[in-house]
Formats: sequence, C-alpha cells, structure tokens
Amino acid sequence: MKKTNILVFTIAILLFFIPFFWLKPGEMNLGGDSGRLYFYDPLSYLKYYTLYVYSSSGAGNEIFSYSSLFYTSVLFVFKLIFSSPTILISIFNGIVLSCGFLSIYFIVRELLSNFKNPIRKSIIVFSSILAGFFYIFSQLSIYSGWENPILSHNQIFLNPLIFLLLLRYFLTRKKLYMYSAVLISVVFSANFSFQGAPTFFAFYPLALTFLICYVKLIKKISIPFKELIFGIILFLLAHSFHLIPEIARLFSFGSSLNKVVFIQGGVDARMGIAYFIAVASGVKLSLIWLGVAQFQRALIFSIFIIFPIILISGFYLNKGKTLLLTGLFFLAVMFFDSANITNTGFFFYKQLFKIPGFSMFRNYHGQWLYVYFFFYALVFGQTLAIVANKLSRRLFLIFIFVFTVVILGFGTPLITGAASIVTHKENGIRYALRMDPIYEKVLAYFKKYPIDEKIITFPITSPGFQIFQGKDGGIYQGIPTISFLSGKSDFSGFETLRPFNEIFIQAMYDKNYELLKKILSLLNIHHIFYNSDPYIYSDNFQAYLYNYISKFSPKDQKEYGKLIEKISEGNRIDFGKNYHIYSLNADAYLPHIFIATETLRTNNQLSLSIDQYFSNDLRAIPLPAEKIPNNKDRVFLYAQPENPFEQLTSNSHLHKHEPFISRKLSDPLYALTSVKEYFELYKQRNNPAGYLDLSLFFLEKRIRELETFGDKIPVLKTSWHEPKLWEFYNWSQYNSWDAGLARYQQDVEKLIGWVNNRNDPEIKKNENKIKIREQIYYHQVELLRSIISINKNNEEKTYLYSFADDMFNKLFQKIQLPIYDTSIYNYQHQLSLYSNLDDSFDVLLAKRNISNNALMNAYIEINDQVLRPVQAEGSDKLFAFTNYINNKNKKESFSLHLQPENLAKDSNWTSSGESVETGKSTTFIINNNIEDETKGLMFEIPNWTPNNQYLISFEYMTSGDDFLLSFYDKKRSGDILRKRSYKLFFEKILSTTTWKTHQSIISAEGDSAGAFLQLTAFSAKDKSKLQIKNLLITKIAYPEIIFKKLFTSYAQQAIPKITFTKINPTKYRVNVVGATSPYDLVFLEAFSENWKLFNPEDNTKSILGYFSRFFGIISKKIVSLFIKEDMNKQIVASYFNGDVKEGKHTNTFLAPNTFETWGKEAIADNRHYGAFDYANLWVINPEDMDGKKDYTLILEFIPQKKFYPALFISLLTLFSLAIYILKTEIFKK
Amino acid sequence: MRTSKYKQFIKNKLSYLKNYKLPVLTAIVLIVIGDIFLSNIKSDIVIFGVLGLYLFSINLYELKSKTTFLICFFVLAAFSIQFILSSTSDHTEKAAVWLFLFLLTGIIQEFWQLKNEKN
Repeated sequence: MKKTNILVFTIAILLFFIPFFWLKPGEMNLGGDSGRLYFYDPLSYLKYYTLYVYSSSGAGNEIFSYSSLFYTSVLFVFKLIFSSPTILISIFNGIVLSCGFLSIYFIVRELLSNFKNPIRKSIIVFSSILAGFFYIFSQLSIYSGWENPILSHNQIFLNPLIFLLLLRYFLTRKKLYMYSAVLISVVFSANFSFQGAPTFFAFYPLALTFLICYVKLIKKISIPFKELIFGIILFLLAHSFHLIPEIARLFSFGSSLNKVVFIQGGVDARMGIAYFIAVASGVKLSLIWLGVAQFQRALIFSIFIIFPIILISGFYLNKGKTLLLTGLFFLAVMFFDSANITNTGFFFYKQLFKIPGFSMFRNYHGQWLYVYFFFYALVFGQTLAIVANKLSRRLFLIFIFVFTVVILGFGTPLITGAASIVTHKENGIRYALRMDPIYEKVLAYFKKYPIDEKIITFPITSPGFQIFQGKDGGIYQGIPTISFLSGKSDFSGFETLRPFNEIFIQAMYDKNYELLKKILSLLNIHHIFYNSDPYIYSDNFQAYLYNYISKFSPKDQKEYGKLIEKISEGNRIDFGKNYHIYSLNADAYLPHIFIATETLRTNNQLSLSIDQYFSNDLRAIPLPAEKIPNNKDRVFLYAQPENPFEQLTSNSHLHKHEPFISRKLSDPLYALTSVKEYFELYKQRNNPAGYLDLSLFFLEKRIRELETFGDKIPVLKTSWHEPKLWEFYNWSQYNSWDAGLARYQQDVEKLIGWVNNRNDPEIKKNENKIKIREQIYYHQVELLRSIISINKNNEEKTYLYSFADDMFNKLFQKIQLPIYDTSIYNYQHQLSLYSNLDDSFDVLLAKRNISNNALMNAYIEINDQVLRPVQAEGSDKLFAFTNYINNKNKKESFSLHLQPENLAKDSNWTSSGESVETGKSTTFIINNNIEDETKGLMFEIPNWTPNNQYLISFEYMTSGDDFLLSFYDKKRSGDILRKRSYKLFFEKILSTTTWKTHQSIISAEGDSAGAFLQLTAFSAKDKSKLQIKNLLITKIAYPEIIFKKLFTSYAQQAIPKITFTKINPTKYRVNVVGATSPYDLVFLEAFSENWKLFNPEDNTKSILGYFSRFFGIISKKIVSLFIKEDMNKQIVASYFNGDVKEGKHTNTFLAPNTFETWGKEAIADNRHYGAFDYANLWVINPEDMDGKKDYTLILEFIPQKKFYPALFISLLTLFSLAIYILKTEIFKK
Repeated sequence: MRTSKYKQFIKNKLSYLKNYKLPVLTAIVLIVIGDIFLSNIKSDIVIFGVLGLYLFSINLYELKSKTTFLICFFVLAAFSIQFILSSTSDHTEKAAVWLFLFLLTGIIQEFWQLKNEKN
C-alpha cells in the first residue's frame, strides 16, 4: 500500500471512531420525527412498523415504511452481534464520517489527476484530504441535521459514495462498481424511496449529468448507454419492494400520495409556493457563499471568506475544463439552494412549482444543502490544488496548515459531539438518554397484553410526540414508543384524536368526564398510560410540546392525575413512581370489531356519536343519512344554521393592518405610489376577498401616512382634487392634510360603492360592510388621537379634528348597515331532507343553558307550519316542539324565534365613573378632564365562553361629547405571576346628539377567559354624560335543532355472534355465527376504502383473479414448506355477553394463509360506510355469503398485498446479483 | 443608403469606444461597487443592464475570462467588507449576487475561449 493511502485510511479510521466518544455507555440519541427507535429495538420496529403499509398509531393511517426494511434488518443483525444500541449508533455515525471523507478524497483525487497543467502529487493528496475534511466538517455539514438524523441524513456519505462508484464504473467499465452501487442503495433504500424523493431528485439527476459530461467531454470516453440502462433496470428491480407499492399508490386516484403530487387541492397547497416564499425570505446568499449555516451571522464567520477567495483564485489560475465543469454545476446548485439570485431568478424558481411533484422542494434550502456542499467540496479541492501548485513548499505548508486549522477548528462541535448530541444551553436538557428499565417494563406489559386494543398517553401533546426521562436524566422526545415498539396503537397527540380532538380538549377543560369516557370508548381505547413525572410537564417543554393543548389541559401533574382518576375510576397498575397504566371501565369499552345493534341515520355523525340524548347503547352507530338502504332506520337530522356573521367568526373584521410607510408625502415621486396601488388593486379584481383586504390595507396606509408625517405636512383648508398622472407639476399637492383626508374619504366611498355594486347576496354584502365599518371605527380613533397630539397650532388642530370627525360621520352614514332586531332573535336554519323521508318528524331543541321562559315562548316557522313548544314531551336535555309533517321536500329553510339571553341583564359598571339608573336608560358620568388616561367605567361580561360569537347592542346618546367604547378579552395564562393578560379587540368613538343604536359582533377566542367593556372619555369637552339604554350582550349560539324520525314498525333484529382475531396490523379474521338477516359490521380503525372484506371461499371471476389465485396457491405451497400455520384458537376476551369474542392475536407477516384472499371476491364493497365519522362499517346481507349462517370473513388492508410479490422480485434480483458478483469477481480465478 | 450610413456611424462610435477600454471597464466596476455600497434599489434592470454592458464589452474589447475573474476579486472584496461591516445586510446580499453572476459569466466565457482555441 502506498504511503499516501496509509495516511488517508488512517484518517478514515480515526474519523470512524470519533462518534464512539459522543455517547456515554448505554446512551442513545433517540427522538424526533423518525424517533430512531430502530437503533433501540430493531426487531420490534421491523415487526410492528417496517413490514406493513399501515401504521396503527392513533386511529391508523397508510404509511410507506418498506424502504427501511433492509436497513432495519442490517441493524437487527448488528444488534445481535453488539447488543448495545450505543455501539450501533456509533458504528453508523462512524460510517457516515469515514465513508463521506474517503469518497470525497477519491473523487477529488480523480478529478485533479486529469488536469491540463500537472499538479504535484503531494498537492493532489493534501488538497483531496482537505476537500474530504471540508465536506464532513464544513459548517453546512455539521448543522445539517446531525442532532436528530432521519434516515435520509445518510445521504452525507451515500451521495459521494454512489457518485464515486459510478465515476469508477464509467472510467474503468468494471460492472462490479455499478452492482456495488445498486447493493448499497438497497440497504439505504430510504434515500431512494418516496420519503427520500427530495434528496434523490436534488442530487442524482445533477450528479449523473455531471458524470456523463465529465466522461464524455473531458475524459473523451464513450458512455456505455446499454449497460447504463441495464443498470437502471437492475436498480428498479432491486428496489421493487418499496417502489411497486409506492408507484401503485402514486397512480391510485384519491390516495394520499396521488393527492400530494397530482391533485389541485388549492393551487398553493399543491405547489407549496406559499411555504417556499416563506422559507426564501430568510435564506441569505452571502452565507451560502461562505459555506456557513444560515444562523451563523456573527463577525467571526467572516473568516470563511478565505473559501470564496480560494475559489476565485483557482478559477483565475485555472487552465483546464474539469474545474469549469465543476464550477458550472456548483453555481447551478447554488442557485437551487439559495433561490434569491435576482428577481428574475426567483420568479423562474416559482414557476418550477408548476411541475407536478416539485412541491417536495418547498423547504428547498435544507434539501439542496447536501448537494451544495458536495459540489462546494469538489470545487474547493480543485481550486486549492491549483493555487497551492503555484506556491513554494514553505508557503504551501502554511497554506495547508491555515485551512486545516479553520476547517477542523470550526468543525470541533461535530468532533466533540456537541453538534450531534445536543444539550440545551439554557435549561440543560440533554437529548440523549439511557433507557429507564422501569419504562421498559411498561413497554413489555403492552407488548404482552393479549387484547387488540388502543391506548392513550397522558399528558397529551400538541405535535403527537411522547416524552419521558431516561435513567440518569436526558429525555426522549419523539414519536410514540408504545405504537412503534409494542404493536399497540397509541394516541399521544392532539391531532391523533381526530375527529374528536377539539371536543376532547374542550371536555378536558370543562371536566366533562362522561364525554371524555365516551370519546375514549368510540376510539377503542381501553388503557391510559400516564407519565406523572412533573419534569416532563414543566415549563421547559410547554412552548413546544403543550403550546395549544395547555390552554385546555390541567395546569399541573397533580390536576392531571385527578382528571385521569375520574375517567378511569381508579383501576391502575403502577410502574415505579412515574408510570401508571389505568384500565377503563370494561362496560364502556367498544372492541376493535363488533356488530352494531342498531344504526342511526344522520347528517351529523360527529354530534350524534357523542350526544347522549338518543341512545345509551354503545353499539348504536350513526351513519351518513344520504345512504339510507331502507325506510326502517331511525333518522336524526341536525339543522344547519345560516349565520349571517359566518365569515366574521375569527374576528377577521377586527384585523389590524400594519403597512410600512417609507415614502414621504413630499417625495416628488409619491404620485407614482398612487398608480402602483391602483395596479395592485387591479390585479386583485377577480379575487373579491383579496380586493377588499388590500383596499382596507391601503386605507390604513392613508391614516398611517398622516400619523407619520402629520407634524410636517401643511393644513391648506381647501378642497383637493387628485392630479392626473401626467400633471407632474401638480404632484406636490399630495403633501397636505387636506389631500390625505380627501383621498381617504374617496377611497372609502369607492370601496362602499364596490360592495354595493357587486352581485353578492345581501348577507355577504353586509359582512363586507361590517368589515369596512370596523376599520373606519379603528381609523377614526387612530387619526383623532394623532390630531390631538400633533405639533400644530390650536386653530389648525381644531379645524382638523372637526373636519376628520365630520368625514367619519359621513362615512358611517354611507355604509347603511341594517340594525339586527334583538328583541326576539330569528335564527335561520337549513335542513336537508331526503327524498325517501316523507313522514312526520319529532322536532327537538337541545336545551343547554336556555331558560325555560325563553323556550316556552319560542316557536319554529317552517314552510306554512308553525311548530309550538310541547311541554309534556322531551327530556331534561331536550325540548320538544309539535311534529313537523314533511311533504317530500328535499331542502327546507326555517327560522327559530327565540328570545335571546341577555348577559348584560344585571349590568354592574365599576371603577372611577358613576352610573345612575334614570328610567329606561342608564346615565354614565365619566370623568373627562384627564382625557383618555382615565380608567372610566368597566363592565365584566358574565358567562363569557371561548369560541363563541357575541352580539353587543345598545342605544346611546352623548349630547355631542366623544366617548370611547373599548372591548378587552382576557386570556388564560399559565404564568404564575401574570395570571391574566388582556387583548384589546376594539376601540370605538361614541358621539351623537340624538339617540343612536350601536352594534358590534365579536368572537371569544379559544383561550379567552372572560371579557369586559370599558367606557372612557375621549375628548375634553364640558359635558361628560353618556346615556345608554337597551344594552344587550348575547351569544349568537345557534341552538341545536334535531329532526327525529322513529318508526313504529322498527323492531330490533337478532344479530350474529362474532369472533375476531388480529393476524397483523393489515389483516383480521372474523368468524361469524348465526347470521340470518342483514347486519352491520363495525371496525374501529380510520376509514379507508382500502379496507376490504373478503369471502375466502368466493373466487373472483376474471382473468386477473385467475392469475392472482394461481400465484396465491403456488406461494402458499412454497411458504408451507418453511412455515406452519398458527392454528391457535384461544379466546382471550368476551364482550356483550358473548356477542363478540376476541381470539389471541398474532403478528404474522408470512404464513401459508397470507395468500388466502388472492383472487377472492370482496363483499359488501358498495355498502362500506364511515361510522362515528371516522371508522368503518359494512352492511352485510345474507346474499353476500350465499345465504350461509356461519362463515369466516377476512378483513384486509389491500395495499399490503402488493408488498409480497414486490419483495419477491427484489430478493430474486439481489440473490442473482450476489451470485453474479461471487462468480465473476470473487471466484473468477 | 441610409442604413449603411447608420452602420458607418455606429462603427465610428464603436471604434471610438475601443480606445477607452480601461475607462469603460473601470466605469462598469465602479457601477457595480456603487450599486453594492450606495444603492438601496434592488432592480433586475440595473443588474442585467450592467451585465449586458459588460457582455458587450467582452465582445468589443475581446476580453479574456481572466478579466472577468479579476472583476470577481473586486466584487469579492466589496462582499467581504460589507459582510464584516453589516453581516447579511441587503448590500452584502447584492454583492453575493454580483459575485455569482460574474463567476458564471467568467466560467461560460472560458468555456467559449477553450472551444475557440481548439478550433
């Protein structure tokens, strides 16, 4: 071996051992999006996750995990040898470092050996070594995701390694290089799969083009295209095990993959442009040039300028094509990595998102980064050698020394492990842990637990991560370990609880234990895993893990414990001090598969699933009303409210714009901004919402301009006309208060005219007008305050105040909004009836907090019928009206007349002012001597509840004085010292000499804990009396109205008994006994059309079915030679007096019966519905099973079936490849 | 007749310009440096206008790629000063864009040169 090679391999070995010093013995850096649990327990990860296309985590979903099959298998073998996960992690990190270094070294050496002006050998070696160092220790590399590396992070060594192998193949034509590349790619398939698509498409097309250009144009060697195509076919065959299922899903209409790539689910959503633009705003090209991470902006990093200097110097001294070619690719990647190269370049980049699938590059900087520092290393290595070749020996050594010090010095965080094993600087949290043996017992408990059930983990987190402490500190914060390592489904995050997630957390807040239990039951949850460790619920984790949830969940672990005790009724097993497993009441548990006792047809499955009004039977299943197979089902139709303020539910009408004012009104070119605004509005002409929003933004701009430059611009006291664009000699006329106010008035009037002239329904017009009115209120306060405080003489200020006040009053008059009648509220509803429902309905109203008096005076008008209250009927929760007779109308709209509940009935105003009842009105005496500094009068609104919309209405008279009405929302806060915070929603000036009505619509936000109104004096006039009458604050809560239809002929039918057994997460066997009539089979797993019920005895009558059966029989015979079928028929649980029994579940990936449904007919496919708004239900008729009473059904997630032949193709290819390599390369002599 | 007059006029002007290689190149470099240090305007018209002028100069003065790489050094110096003074300000970003464009121009120019040399 040559001396240089000894040196290089010694460095590679040293690099390999560096990661062995990062972790303490027994420690693992697990967690994050991938969890990296395959290092901890590769076998369980393989058994419960990798081998299946379905993840039963939460309610279950389709996944693409096959690509990690060989990687996890290799890890499993390594685990058998080394047993320690710490060693496993260190070995694979070592491979990344040493292999990455070696590959870059050999690539650069190859490129340098081809230079026109020969370079000294020692320079080639040292430049290549430094390029290798630069590649693995550059700032871009060490902050590229080492702290929680997902599988695609292996690209750090895979990219250069595959590149090197292909380069060697092109130069030597030895097929061994190509085959080795294929074999390596199979082990690290994640980088070549759907999940690794961005990394694959960022690197390989460019790398292959570079190689072809290099070989063809520079080395002048012909490209073996036939062999290359053969290699690509070989690659595809070897990767079939994940590519076939992925491609099948890609072209399967409606699949998640198909939607991501092809379906126009909103242009922005598909293209990811919005995300791309957001990312692009923070990416700096200057930092990319320096080769540092985007957060490294300190002065010290200016030392990295030496790298661009070497680059430019190298190009200056260069005389060959190799560097030019590399430089061209380097700049191309720099463009893709930065995007911010001229506006034209950015525009071009945005257009690329029109290509289907390009949206995978929405987080483009992170995805192109690896390719960028790969080409940077190649260019750096070459330019360094060119420059060094011109230096004397002594200068060369200094040169090498400086670069080595800079690269390795700044690479210290990776060498020491500080960048890869993160310890948080502020709170000392270490994201590496030794697994707690007590927690391992919890995992073992769930692994062995025989029932096929689901688990919920508390404290519940926002992103769905689980968190627990290791043995000696350090934490795991990542995907739920119970789901991925024990084979049981675990709900650990807010999102996993869909569709009940919002209801669930609100029930936690309301301490509605019954509702919580009901939801857990509907989700097939039988156990609660509770980690009571106070540390994991401390402030350190609140911001990331509990951010949204914390507004609803218990404030500390003590409260959490109480909540769980209430739900579980105290049945628990303790594991040490912190881990507890609670069992839920067996009577409230719904097994994974069961038969419904009755079905309830409804247009609102979610509400009916959790409503306790109609049935206490857990097995009564709500189904979509549209699909009514017969006229005997019980029907519950929920009326849909028609809220005139629907678009205002998130307080969008109170949104405050923040324009940036940079151009002075005195600027000679100011007039052009007017033209620019005109064109920007013109561009929004086909987008009404955008047009309105932009117009309001420009109105705010007018006000801000006056506010910002008010002191300096003159008050002319003359009328103003906008100069034409060509009247440039009049452009200076924009620079006056009069111009600003006149432009504002004109623009508002134009906008009101635009709303009036649009062909919108009246409701929509009024909503838009409310938005404009609220903005004018806001501008009025803003501008008048500004006038009060500007630096002008009193005469000018008085003139401006009065002028602006008049202007706003005129504008308010122009808006012409209707006053909503508050004496009796008219709630409009829509009801969809179905053509086959032509009977009478019970009409019921959910009482909730509506007073009896209001209910007794309520009535419903529908068609010509008036439905009056029926006192005797209903229940304590429901209030009944007289029946409604439907005359085959499909759609009805009706109105409920109900007296609103006035939250301000017993208004109690407090603070510095005084309120006196004077007849029907209340007179408020407010101190206005100190202007708006006074606290004024305040009224705390009682019974204010989050997520509700409110109407505030009153009549007022101020005798011409100005008062300020403010509205504040109190926020819940976890902060001990600052228990509440307040958010000012609006301020409005009340000023009138006659009685006027004021109405405001407001929505309490999700974290609202209360609200209050405040009245203060606004201007210091003599009078200080404000009279208010008919103050009404009422919730615009549409009462739930349900139309119920019962059939006298309804008789409960006998339901068959079933025994179900889980074979694996994608397959269940259901034995049915005594099926004499139609029945409904329910499967509590997220609804998917890919779940199919098969009759294993019914053959599909098609050619495809025939072939499928044929291969199924062959496969069964082959598998039978090696694996015996598990015939265990042990029953592990029985429910509903033996109606449902559960067999001992197995986790059988491959057995002779794996192929039993191949070429078999799916049954009841057109009667497969969504139940409980998330699960699966099949209506099975006797004729589906040829009238048989006792039979077996197979429930299967069909995408899994594609995996078996695909895996067979891959294994066959790999086996053939291995034989070929052994024969031709190893044993050829 | 008139067209040839125009051609003659342009030829005369160009031959006149040919005598001012250094001032023209200095002017281009100064415009770039001025744009980096002094201008707050981010406009593609300026960038591509100046770049177009430089491409025209390459043709007119038959400039070698080395000249372009030399200009890269000036831009790099401006970039370094800006980064030291103002980290990743808009001015530094502008310098980075200029560096990218001149390096790209230099590489393409050298490819062109090598091709012509071969022919």
